[in-house]
Formats: sequence, structure tokens, C-alpha cells
Amino acid sequence: MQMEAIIKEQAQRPPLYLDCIHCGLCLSSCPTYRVLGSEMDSPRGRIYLMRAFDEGRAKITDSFVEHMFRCLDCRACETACPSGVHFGHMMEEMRGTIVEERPAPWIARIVLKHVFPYPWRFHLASRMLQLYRASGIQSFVRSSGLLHRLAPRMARAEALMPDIEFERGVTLDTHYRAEGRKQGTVAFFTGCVMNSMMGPINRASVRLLTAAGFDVMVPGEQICCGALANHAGLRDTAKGMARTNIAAFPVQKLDAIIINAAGCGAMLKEYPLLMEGAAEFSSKVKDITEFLASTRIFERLKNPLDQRVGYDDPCHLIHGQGIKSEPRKLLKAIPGIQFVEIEGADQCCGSAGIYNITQNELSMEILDRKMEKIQKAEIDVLATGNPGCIFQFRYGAKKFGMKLEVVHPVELLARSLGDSNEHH
Amino acid sequence: MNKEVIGKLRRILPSAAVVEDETELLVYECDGLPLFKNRPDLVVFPRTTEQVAQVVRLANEYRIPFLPRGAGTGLSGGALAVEGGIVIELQRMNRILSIDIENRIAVVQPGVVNLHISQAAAPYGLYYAPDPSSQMSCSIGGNVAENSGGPHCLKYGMTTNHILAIEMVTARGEIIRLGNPAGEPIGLDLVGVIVGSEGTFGIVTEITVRLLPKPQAVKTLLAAFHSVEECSQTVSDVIAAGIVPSALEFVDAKTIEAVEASVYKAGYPLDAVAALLIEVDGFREGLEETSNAIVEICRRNRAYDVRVAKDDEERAKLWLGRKGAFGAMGRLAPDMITMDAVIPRTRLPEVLVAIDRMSERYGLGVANVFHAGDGNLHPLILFDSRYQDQVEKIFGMSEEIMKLCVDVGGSLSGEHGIGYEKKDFMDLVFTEADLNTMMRVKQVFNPDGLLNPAKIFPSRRGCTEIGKHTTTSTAEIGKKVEAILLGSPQKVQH
Ligand SMILES: Cc1cc2nc3c(=O)[nH]c(=O)nc-3n(C[C@H](O)[C@H](O)[C@H](O)COP(=O)(O)OP(=O)(O)OC[C@H]3O[C@@H](n4cnc5c(N)ncnc54)[C@H](O)[C@@H]3O)c2cc1C
Ligand code: SF4
Ligand code: SF4
Repeated sequence: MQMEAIIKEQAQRPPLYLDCIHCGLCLSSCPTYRVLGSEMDSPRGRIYLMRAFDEGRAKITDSFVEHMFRCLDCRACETACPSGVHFGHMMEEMRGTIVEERPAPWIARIVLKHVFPYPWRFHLASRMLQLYRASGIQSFVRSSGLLHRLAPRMARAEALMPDIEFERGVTLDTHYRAEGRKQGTVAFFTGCVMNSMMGPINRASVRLLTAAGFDVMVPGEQICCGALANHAGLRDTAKGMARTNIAAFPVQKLDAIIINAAGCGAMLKEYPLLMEGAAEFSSKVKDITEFLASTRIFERLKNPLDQRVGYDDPCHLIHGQGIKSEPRKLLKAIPGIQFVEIEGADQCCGSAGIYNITQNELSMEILDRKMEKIQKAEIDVLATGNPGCIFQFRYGAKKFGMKLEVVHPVELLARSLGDSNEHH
Repeated sequence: MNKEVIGKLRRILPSAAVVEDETELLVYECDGLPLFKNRPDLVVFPRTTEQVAQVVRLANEYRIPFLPRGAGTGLSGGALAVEGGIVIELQRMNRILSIDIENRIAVVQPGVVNLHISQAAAPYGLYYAPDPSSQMSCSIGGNVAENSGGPHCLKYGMTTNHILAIEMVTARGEIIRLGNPAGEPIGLDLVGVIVGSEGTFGIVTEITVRLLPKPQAVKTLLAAFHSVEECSQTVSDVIAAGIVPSALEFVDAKTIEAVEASVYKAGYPLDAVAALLIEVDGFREGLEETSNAIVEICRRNRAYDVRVAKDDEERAKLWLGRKGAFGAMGRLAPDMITMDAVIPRTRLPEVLVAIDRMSERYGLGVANVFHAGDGNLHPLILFDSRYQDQVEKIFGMSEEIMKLCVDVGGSLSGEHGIGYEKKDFMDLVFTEADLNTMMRVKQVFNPDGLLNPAKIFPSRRGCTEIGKHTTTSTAEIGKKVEAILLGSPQKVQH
């Protein structure tokens, strides 16, 4: 169905929470419920509270806010729910209402409202981060335990900081030409986090797209997709960002708009739920693995990779976009690779946007359970297609003292392309 | 709630494991049957048996009612805090303590999810047989309390056939062990009394379950019919032919519509009036013939489409569809109640027709999906709780359905228990003497009536009341317990 039609229908349709029949079949799919075992931290309980609020039986109290924001927005519950509850959408609306009534947690608020929407500020922030690391202050602060005493949350957030590949590939060119016979033209959505922190991933993505026979354009006016703001309940901020992005892409001329961050992809595909006039744009959005799996890239994967590789499903790919088989199919096509299926690969790693910063303790408990399963799989490399998850797993590997390389699937694919001088 | 009690609870448990916040308590006001609501005063989250016992002793000291709760998927209001008090939530006691491969047993905590036991045992070729449709969420503690069944209980028996031993906190807070993990119970088989006691005899804190080796081979069939009669006749014919299917499930057109629209889309035929999901398992040898015989019986009863799942993937899909069926009803209406009754298999067609008429008369939709093999009916009545008149109709209609089932020689519950929902229907099937006997047994385990009050027995008889008037000796009660063991009156099995 057309997204626009869905929205119209929603304007007249009864509240979304009525879809929930209170059966509880979603309970054990929910990462927060699995750890806490409390109904108010389950999908069913959260929906129950939303309904109670709407019916005037519950107020937005501290605890109400806490349980809403403790949700990872991972949408595992949507995959489990036989009634087809639109949980993610309901949660975003609920958070929107909360933020109208009460300010979002301070870290989220400042960063999301004042940094993410502005590429230059974000670049500045990450440049400062990099400086901070390079200067050695970081190790001083870490070892002194100063941060630990002052603000434990900040300290943990600090440990999550990625190894920034700032110099390499922060800015992409605006055009890349297809290799060989041209199959079409796509646009590349850089994503703010990817762009400034994960340069090599973006470059690998573009290489693969051109190798598959596509011209790639990278519109300069694009900004952050707005997912983080939206998940935090800052709906107006998110809407503004969506508008800017839609204007930045010449949709009609494109075969697809490619994105390599699962969280951003899910957001771009759901712009129509946020605003009108976004349907055409969103219909073109494809995750990089979703897109590549339908191209001739397979013929180009030549260089063998003799490693045990596992794959972890980012929530916003598997639950948010229903993409499960494509990344596996691509990875398995790499010559020599030993692909290992990890137990519970479809379960959240606890990173979810900036969750690992705002809900650190819970996030760490979820991560611990995940790392135990990864340890059991005895792999050399873990591939996963979302920046937040990559950071989280790198941190997890460090915490558990594991020798584990954490990459985006496109990095492995690009290595297999051969004649590349891009290494990690 | 008394501040002193909260203070004392916080000495037994970590502060965050004692919930008193009004908003948080709200989600504990109902279980899988939201038709009935009452907010508890407190919810506590113990992690150890000792903590459970201490909470129970404290509740006794202050005469506060309390009740255990698992995943809250119960469908008869068993986890409803009728008189408020303390909900003892066992979901944090969710560890599988051991799996003994040689003796084929597992020792688990009560909060372990049913399905997780089978998943943990799978590498050893073992599984836990009772498979309620809610198995991906419901807790084994809840299963023990409700003596839960599932599609495969037709061949393998209900929960009670798979529980070897339990550790339990009694209503007064002692910790006791019942049963024998090694096999036959010594002395009175009290495990059998506890299983199915619906959380009113004690709080189960550790469970030793039997594991079974996975069958060598399985065949799953889907047969579609144009009429309910033909479908029902097939059920009777399969059983009459001496075949013991491991499962024999009925789904009607409404159910198919809801399931096929859901994430658990299974490929059920959309034009069928009724369909059967039939499974046989066992040794590879001979299974093909059994399966062919079933196909033959279906055809003879004019099944217009009979399909045998070709691989495990297709089998799994057919089952996920069945298990998601209750939940999928959210697509048809905002609210639903799941009725649970047992009728003689032969009366199936007429009962379904009568329910259909009732549905028209009340103006409320009904879907039917149930364990046809043992006549365990589950009419799902659809409604919208925002309209009070519909809620009232629900009460009328469910009572009519219960009466109808009893009239044709059936009973009140196949697997979901009596709980709060059906306690006033108990008079329909039991005599005064039957009920008094049961209440005396309850008196033994729950002498003060503080544990999960106002359940199972008709409202007019308070349990404490009976305590005042009877002078039954313990020896006599022992005999009654034995009598009860010979037949399980709450759970009629065919
Ligand atoms: C979609 C759906 C499908 C279902 N399918 C089936 C089915 O196929 N077969 C079937 O039999 N049932 C079915 N049920 C009903 C329900 O899932 C079962 O009754 C299940 O056993 C309840 O487990 P729970 O953990 O949710 O228990 P709860 O609902 O939390 O509690 C149920 C009762 O058990 C008591 N209890 C809980 N834990 C303990 C404990 N540790 N010690 C003592 N008492 C305890 C509670 O006090 C309460 O009385 C279904 C329910 C749903 C929602
Ligand atoms: S599975 Fe769906 S319908 Fe059932 S409780 Fe969860 S959200 Fe509600
Ligand atoms: S989105 Fe994830 S964390 Fe939130 S309720 Fe659903 S399953 Fe739980």
C-alpha cells in the first residue's frame, strides 16, 4: 500500500494501541523484558501504559517516562506480534508527546537538537573527539578514574567512542562512475555518523556500487536522517531534517537511494509516517546489502578471505526493514569464507541509537549476554550493518578481552573485490 | 500499602525489586484476560527461593494477600490480584539449572520460558513435550500451575505427565520438596496435586521436568474442507482408525483470515470453511503408511485439498501459524476472550453450529481454533472493551457457551484453568460434596486463604468459612487427597 494512503487511513482509524490484544506472545522477544522480567519493560506493558495514558488512567510520571525511554526501539516485538502492532510508530508518537510535556534526558536533548542536525557541528564534535584521543588526555582521564567519579555515565559513553577514521574519507566526491557497462544510477546517503566516523565503510560502499555497474551520486545538501531525534521524541526536529533530505535528492533520476546504516535506512523508509509528500523518496530507499544482492556484484567477489566470519542482524534491518537473507547471501559468496550462524543473531545488542549512553546499565547487561554467544561461535570477524552496533560490539570485544574484528559487511565485500588499497 | 511492610520487603530484596509506583502497578492489574482488572498494592521480583519464602512469611505476618505470577499469559484470570496485596513475580528466576542427558531430565527455575527448555535440550536430541501455543512466552511455573496443554498433548499428555519433582514455598512460607526426580514418587504423589492447583496451593520455585527424545520422523498434514461436518467427521474417523496423531488441530475460516494476514502467514487455504492440521510422529518406518491412511480418510470425507509438508521449514510455518492464531485476532477486533471447554468429539458439529447462532444473536464475532483431537474447544469471542454493552454481552455469551458445553456432556476447562473467570460456573459440573472435598484439600495447603484468594471456587463459599465449620481430621484429608489423585476433576481429558 502507498505510504500516503496509510497515513490518511490512520487519521481516521482508531488508536493504534487497539491492535494489541494483550496476548503476551511478544514478551520473550523483547530485550529489556528478557533482562528485567518486568511487565512495564515489555512491549505489552508499554502499550498498556500508552493506552492507559490515552484513556486518562495514567499520567506522564517519572516512571512512565523511564519505561518508555528504556525501550530500545529495536522492534523485535513487531516481528513477533501476530496482531501486526505498529510498535515503533506508536513509540515514536508517545515519545513525541512526552517531549512536548517534559524535556528529554539532557544528553540526548543537547546532542540531538543541537549537534546532529548540523553536519559542521557534528564534524567539529568528532574532530574534537579525535583531538582528545590523539592528545593522550583520554588515557589520562581513563586511568585517573576522574570521570568515573564525576559522571559514571559519561565515563562509559566515553569508552564507547569509536576509533575515528577522520582523515580518511570524511568527504566523498559528488560523483563516481560505474565500472564496466553501466547498469543505472543511484544516489548515496552518507549518514552523519557514518560519514564522520566510518569513512572507510562509506568508501567501500561506493566502490561496491560502482563495481556492480552503477553511477553513484552523493548529493551535498543531505543531512542526518533524523532517526536519533525521532526515537528521542523530537518529532519536529526530525520532520525538518526529512524535508531537507527529500529536497536534496533528484528522486526521478535515480534507480535507488542507497544507505549503509540500518537505523537510518529504516528511518528514510518511514518518512511517510512522519510527513506527507515523502512516498516517492522513500520507495527508492534501499539498504546497501538489499540492493547489492540484486546486482551482478557476485561475479566480482574474487579475493578469497580465509576467516571465520559471523553476522549479527541489526534490529533496524531485520525487524525494521525485514532484511535477513541478503547480507548473509552476500557474505557467503565471498570465496573461502567460513560463515558461522551466531545463536540469537536477531536479538538486540543493546546499542540502539544512543541508548548505550542514556541507559547504560541495561545496555551493558544486554551486551554481556550477546558477547557470551559470540564467544561461543569462535569467530575472527563479526559483520553487522549499523554504526551503533559496530561501536557497541567493538566495546564489547574490548570489555571481554576478545580478539575480534568488527566490521560492516561491505568492508569484507570490498576486500574481496581485490585491487583495493583500502584496509582496516 | 503499609510503609513498614515496604521497608521490611526492601530488607529482603534489593530496592528496585519492590515496586510500589502507581504507574508501574497499573500493568499488573490483569493477565492474559484483561476483561478483569484489579491493581495489586505491590509487585516484588525475587531471585531466590529463600527470598520468596521470606516475602510469604512477611505477608503472613501482616495478613496481606499474595499471589505468584509468571508471564501473565494465563487466560482465566489466575494471576489477577482480586483482593490487591502482593504479586510475587517469578520472571527473574529464569535459569535452567541443569540438564541431565542420560536420565533425560532438566531442573529449571519457575520463570524459564517453556520453549527455552526445548531449545536448551535440542543439542542433545531432547525436548520438553507440552507445547502450549503461548510456549514462546509462558513460564514453566505458570504451566505447572495451570496444568497446561498444547497441540501435542493429544499423544504425549498434559504438563502433569512431565513433571517429576518440585520445590515449593508453602502458603505459610516453608520450603518443601515433593516428588522424586528419579521416577516413581515415594509416598503420596503430591506433585500431582500441585500441578493444576492454579497458584492456590503454593509457589513453585524449582521444577524437575522430563525430557523426551525427539521423534525419529514427523509428518504434518493440512487438510481443507468446505464444511464443518466433514471436517469433524474426519477427526472422528482418524481416531476410530486406531491412529494416534501427535496433534490434531482445527482452524476455521475466520482464524485462517487472521493468521494469513499476520507475520505468521502459513499458507492456510483462504477459501476453506474449516481445516485440520494433523501431525503424526514416531519411527520412520511405517510413518509414510500412517500418513497415507490419514490422507485417504480426509479424501473420503471430501477434503478438497490435502497437503503434506515437504520439509521442516514448511512444517514449522504451519505450526507458527497455529500458535500465533490467538494473538492474530487483534487484526479482527480490539479485544478477544478465549473460551476453553471440553466436549465429546462427536458433538462438535452441533456445538459449533449453536455457537455460530449465538454469535449472530449477540452480534459478536467468533473464531474457532482448537485441539480437535481431545475435544478441547476454544471459541474466541471478538469485541471492543471500549463499549460497555459489548462487555456485558461477553459475559452473557460466555455463560451460554459454558452451559451448552456442559449440556452436551462436556466440562469447563481443557487447559486454561478456572481461575477467576469461571469460578461461578463450577456449580454446573460439581455437586456440593465434590466442591467441599476440593476445598478441604485447599484448606490443607492454603489454610488462611491468603495465597491467591477468590479463585476456582464459587464466590459464595469463602475458604476461611469452611475452615470454621469443619473438623475434618488430617487422616481424612489424606484420603481425600488420594481420591482426588485418582481422577483430576478440574481437567477433564478424553
Ligand atoms: C496466545 C495464547 C495462547 C495460549 N495457548 C495455550 C495452550 O495452547 N494451552 C494452554 O494450556 N494454555 C494456553 N494459554 C494459556 C497460558 O499461556 C497458560 O495457562 C500458561 O501456563 C500460563 O503461564 P504464565 O507463565 O503466563 O502464567 P501466569 O498467567 O502468570 O499465571 C497463571 C497462573 O499460574 C500461577 N503461577 C504462576 N507461576 C507460578 C509458580 N511459580 N508457582 C505457582 N503458581 C504459579 C498464577 O498465580 C496464576 O494462577 C495461552 C495463552 C495465550 C495468551
Ligand atoms: S504480541 Fe502483539 S498483540 Fe500480543 S501482547 Fe504483544 S504487542 Fe500485543
Ligand atoms: S522495540 Fe524492542 S525494546 Fe522496545 S518494546 Fe519492542 S522489543 Fe522491547
